Parts: sequence; structure tokens; C-alpha cells
Amino acid sequence: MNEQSGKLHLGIACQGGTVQLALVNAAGTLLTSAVLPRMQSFAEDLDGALRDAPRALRAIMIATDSFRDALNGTSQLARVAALRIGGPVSTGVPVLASWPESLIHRISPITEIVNGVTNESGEELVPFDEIAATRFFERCAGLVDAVAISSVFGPLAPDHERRAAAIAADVLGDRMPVTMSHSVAGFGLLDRENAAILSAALTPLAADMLRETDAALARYGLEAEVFLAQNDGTLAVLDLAVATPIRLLEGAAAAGIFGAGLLAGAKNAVVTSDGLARTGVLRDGYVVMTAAPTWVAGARMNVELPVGTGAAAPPHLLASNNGARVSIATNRSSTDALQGAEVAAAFGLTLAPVGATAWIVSERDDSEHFRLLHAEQQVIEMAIIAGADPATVAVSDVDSIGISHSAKRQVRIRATGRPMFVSRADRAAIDPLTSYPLTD
Amino acid sequence: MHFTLEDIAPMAVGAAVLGAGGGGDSYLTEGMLTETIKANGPIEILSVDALSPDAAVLPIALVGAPYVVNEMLVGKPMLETVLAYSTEGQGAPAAVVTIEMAGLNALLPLIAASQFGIPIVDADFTGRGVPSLEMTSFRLEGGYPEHQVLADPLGRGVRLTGSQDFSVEMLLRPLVNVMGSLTAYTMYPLRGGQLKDRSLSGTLTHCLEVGRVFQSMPGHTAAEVDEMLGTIAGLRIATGTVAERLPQSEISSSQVAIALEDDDYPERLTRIDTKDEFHLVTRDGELLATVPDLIVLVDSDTWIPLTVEQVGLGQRVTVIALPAHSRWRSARGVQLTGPQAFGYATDYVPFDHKSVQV
Repeated sequence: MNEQSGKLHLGIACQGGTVQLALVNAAGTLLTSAVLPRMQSFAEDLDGALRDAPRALRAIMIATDSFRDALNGTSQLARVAALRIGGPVSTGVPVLASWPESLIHRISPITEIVNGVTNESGEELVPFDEIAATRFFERCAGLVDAVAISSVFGPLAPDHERRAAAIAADVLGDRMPVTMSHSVAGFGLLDRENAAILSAALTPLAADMLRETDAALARYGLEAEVFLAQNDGTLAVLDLAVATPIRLLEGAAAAGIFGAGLLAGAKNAVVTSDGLARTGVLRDGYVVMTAAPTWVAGARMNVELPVGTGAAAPPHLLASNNGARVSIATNRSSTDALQGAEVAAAFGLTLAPVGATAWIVSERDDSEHFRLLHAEQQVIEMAIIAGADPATVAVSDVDSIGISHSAKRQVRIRATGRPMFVSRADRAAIDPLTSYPLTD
Repeated sequence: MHFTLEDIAPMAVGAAVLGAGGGGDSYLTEGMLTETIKANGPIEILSVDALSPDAAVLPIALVGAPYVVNEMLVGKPMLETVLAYSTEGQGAPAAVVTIEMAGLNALLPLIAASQFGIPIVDADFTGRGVPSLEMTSFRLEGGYPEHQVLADPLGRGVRLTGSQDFSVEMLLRPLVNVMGSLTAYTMYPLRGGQLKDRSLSGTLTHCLEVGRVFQSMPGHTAAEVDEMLGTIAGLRIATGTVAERLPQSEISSSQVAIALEDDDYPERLTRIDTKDEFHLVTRDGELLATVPDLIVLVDSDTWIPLTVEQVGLGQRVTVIALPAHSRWRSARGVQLTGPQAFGYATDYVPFDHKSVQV
């Protein structure tokens, strides 16, 4: 391995009908790029992307819209056992309420609401009924491929969800994928529960992606670190990212928004496609996310997605956000600044930071400062677990929205850092939870 | 007239519109209402005039913080407790009436009516989202509740009798907070005669009408939308991208000013002053609309109405104004629910007396 090739990053963006490839050196310069037609499967797309790649890549960054397409498609998804811990209080709206029948049919769900309630202060109002949860999982044995667990105020006090996950592992085995709602989204039980169920329904597909990536790396003798793009355009290491595929739905679109900003040298921009549809907004270098509930496959959830996504076409045009439209032609020869626009997503991937985000509820009282510091430290640790270099990781953005009829506010904390490049073999030897313990 | 399964979706949209940014997210109660109507059948809608003067009517509202409702949802025990504490074994009320025709508070009374097997009255006391139990036509007409009941999600209840001279809000808010910021509320009994004098009649069917108009907007041109809005006296008054959310208070984190950058005229800034609901719309220093008229922000791409918390940076929104009920537009109505009641040093500006359309 020579020094130069050892610092190459390959961005692979599988979006719409194409696979964008961008090879970038340590200085962030685009060395080569290509646009390949999309094949029938992720494995084929990846194989095509890696076949001619330099052997000594340091990192491979992948974005794909295949999880979103899987939800929006018609094929069968994983069969999900959905457990809500919320009785006897949170029973008025059933699990999967307002889901389209066709989507429900595709996950062959088994649902249950068991007792267990936490209040807005994080105190246990009703104990978690472990016996009922055990019986439920016993009933699911052999009938489900994945488990989704939700609980009242789960993001504030995840204890009920964690205990239920442990029971699921006991009853259904360690290999059963379990998605806890607090690990996929913030406040709003129904929307978070929907997100957890949808994410659980995608876990076998995500596991396939992990397996196929390992196989492709082995096939071509690559030892690169692999990252996946999340909905906000930041990266997370493959092994971690595949655990919550709902956070990867719009990774390709977000990478395109981020990459378009890089190509245009704009940290604040409205990114448009073909001069018409708006595909996203960049603010201070970050992809702006929705504050309103989001919809996928007819189900409502509260996983944040980039503002303006929906048009999957790669960005060709940029407009600055001061309103004076800066036309950047689709013809790449017309302007140096946008050379590479057709691989904006793949290029964006290679330079994207690793990121982690968490929402907390805070109150403007004497201890708020310490509460926020504590939360920030946790998000920093989440970013390190997601693959950020501890030497570079920092809180990059704190945003808050006041809560109606309450003195409290929801605070979103995002931490980002440069990717840390550990080969996949080496990373497998690191147990992130013992290396970087969460301050619980 | 009956409220059926087909009415749920337009009712929820109408309730979100009338919420004017507040009232909570009616989506939560949609699923619950669907289940209840599927189980119990359509709900009879009674006009105020059809009530006998001494009929006992049960008003229903959720009082608390919407984000707690979003987590706890609403269970049957809460409504059953309200009923039990209200009637004390005296038999079922003649009907349920909505207190606040906005957000989930517009749908919850329908759930109660279905659950209790009694009709719902085509009326309420606000016609829009309000932040306080003081801002009702019941209070506007000088009414005081004889009895009030609060019930929490675990079925614990508090019954207050003889609250005359107390501010309902000052009396109840601390209780609501102690009870976990989520309670079902009633003032029982209200008599049919009192409803005739003190309620806003026809607001349930109005909510349905508004919802149907907003439901049919997606896919239409701006001109067509304007025509549709015209049928409910609404007007598009601004459009743009959310550029800032500026906190306006150290004490209340929901008090913010939202700045919109006009898509076509970027130098033109629209500001929406907000606390729990949208209160004022100002463009380049000129007031375009104020409370008590309804200021509604919808996502420009989907026409879905947004709550105050759902308006995020970078979002493209359209601002629509709708007239408040005529009682709120009177001098006394404005005194109770106009800009100065919310602490703004400005007079009420009826949006439809100006030429402010986009």
C-alpha cells in the first residue's frame, strides 16, 4: 500500500436508477468519478462499484435509497412483533392505528399493549408487567423475524424498553433483531412506535447489506472502514447503522444535498433539481431536517428527514438562499464550480462527518446548564460509537423548540467529528460499549 | 345528522386548521375515534336548538401540555372518570359538547360521545384554538361553572364546586401540573338553555366544512386554492421559507417569532408572532392579521396545517387567515381574545379589511 492510495475514500451513492462513484484523495480532491446503471440488487451494485476500486482504500462511504424503496414497494417485509409498554393508560389508540392495510399485511404483525407507564418527569407511574411481556414473546416464537418495542416517554426513561428487549432476547434468542423506540426517534409515542416497527421490518434487509458488504470486501481484498449515510447526511459505521435502518431512508438524498453544497462552496443553500423541484436545504453546512411528522409508505412517524426531499433526482441546480438564484447548469463543462454535479451525492459522502443526534426535554431552571452538558457528553459519546475520531468530535449544533403549554423545550443536540479509520477487522475487535461507556 | 367514519379525516384536518397552531395534534385522536365509531356506530349530532332547556350536557376538553398527550395518548379510563365524577350516579348526560373546537380537543368529545352512547352538540365555546379556559364564549357571557372535574390518565379525579370569582385558569393550572400535565376536563352540568346563550352554535359542522376545503387543496393552483378558501372567507396572506425561529421570552420557550423569507421577493420578510398558537402576522412592519382571527400555517408542498412546534427552519409554508367567530370580533370579544389579551401592544386588525393577499 502506498501512502497516497492508503488515504483514498470511495463514495458510493445508490439512488434512483444510478450508482454514483466518487474517488477522493486525502486533500478532498475528486480524482475520478463514474455513474453506473443501478442493478437488481445492492450486492450487484456494490460489486460493480468495488470491482475496479484501488485495493488500498482507507474508507468506503455508502448511501442508498433501497430501504425507502423497500418500504414504498409491495414485497413482503420482516414479520414484526410490536410490543407497546403503556397500559393501562396509553391504550386509546391501538398499535398500527391509521396504517394502510396493505402495509400492515406486509409485516404480518403480532401486537400487544402491556402495562408500564413512565411520566413526563421520568418517574415510573405503573410498573412494567414483565410476565405479560414474556407471555407475548412466547406467543410470537416462530412467527416473527424482528421485534419492535415502544414505551411511554421511552427517550426520557428507556428502562422499560431495555428490560423488554432483554426478555425478547431470552425468549426469542440473541439473534432476533430487537428495535427499541428510543433508539430511533424522539418524543411522540405513536410516531416513534411506528418508526420502530418500520425499522424492525427492514432489519433483515439491513443484515443482508452487512453480509453482502463483508463478502464484497473479502472478495476484493479490501480492508477499508465502511460507513453508511444517515438521514441527515452524516455517517455512521456500517455495523451500527444497519441496526436502525429507518435512520438511513434518505441517506442518499442527504448526501446529495451535502455534496451539492460542497461542490458549490456554499454552506447555506437551497438545493434544487432540474430547476424545479427543491431537493433540500443546507444551513451552516448541515442538511436541514423537518420539524413536522414525516410519512413513509402511508405510515406517519417522527424520524426526521431532510426538508424538501421526495424528489429523488440528483441535484443539478443550486440556488443561494439569499434568493438570487445562481444557475448552475447541468452541463458540467459550463462551470468549474460544479464539476462533478452528477456525482454530488457520492462526492458528499467522502467528505461527510460522522454524526449522532439526540433530543432531550429541558427546562430553564438552575440545573439546565448541567443537564445540557450531560446530554452533550452523551451525544459526543454516541458520535464516537458511530465512528467519529474522538480527537475531532464536538457538539456541532444545538437547536431547540419550545413546548406549547409548558415551560419546557425540546433540545436537539448533534455531535459530529471526522471519521476514524479503523479497518473493519480491527473495529470488530473493539467493543464500543466498553471502550466508550455511555455515562448513564 | 350523524357523524360517521367518513367524517373523521375532514374533521381532523378542520381541527388542525382551527387550532391555528395550537390545540395539539389531532392525528392522535383520529385512530381512537376510528376504533370507537367502528365499535359503536355513527354519532348523532344535535343542534343547540334541539336541546331542551334543562337538558344536562357534558362539555369535554383535554387540559395539559400537548407533548404529554403525544406520549401518554388518551385511554378510556380518563373519560370514564370524568363521567363518573360529573354525574355521581345521576344517570347519563343528554349529550356531550365540545369546549374547544381545535386540534385533538375537537375530536376527543366525539370519542366521549361514542363511548358513552350519547349525541354530540353542534357547538363549542371557542371556535378556534385558545391557550386558556378563560377564553371561551361561556366566560365572555359571564358564565361560571357550578362544578368542575379534572381526571388524570390513571383515573384519579378532582371535583371542584362553586368556583365563582376564581379565575378558572389560576385555580386549575396548578392542579393540571400536579396531575402530570394531562387531564380531561369538564364543567358539569351545563343546561341546554345555557348552551343557547353561551355557546358558538354550528361550529362542529363548520369544522367539517373547513376540513373538507383544506383536504381538497393539494394539487390545485394558487388561484384555485384562493377560490376554495373564498368559500370559507379565508385568504392566503403570505408565503415563504422559514428563515428563523427567534425566542421572544426567557420564561416561555414556546413564545417565538418565526421569520419567513418570501420565495419571490427575498427582501420581503414576514414575521409570525407565536405563543402556543399563531398570533400576529407582520410584513415589513405592517400588521396583516392578528388574533382572534385564525392564522394558519400550512406546508406549501402538502397543504397540511402545522402546529407551532412543527414549523421548522427551511420549511416552505403558506400563511392563511380565516375570520374568527363574529362574537370574537366584537369589542368585548377582542378584549378577551385580541392581541392585547396576549400581551401585544397593538390593536386588533381584521385581515379581511385590508388588501393583503399574496
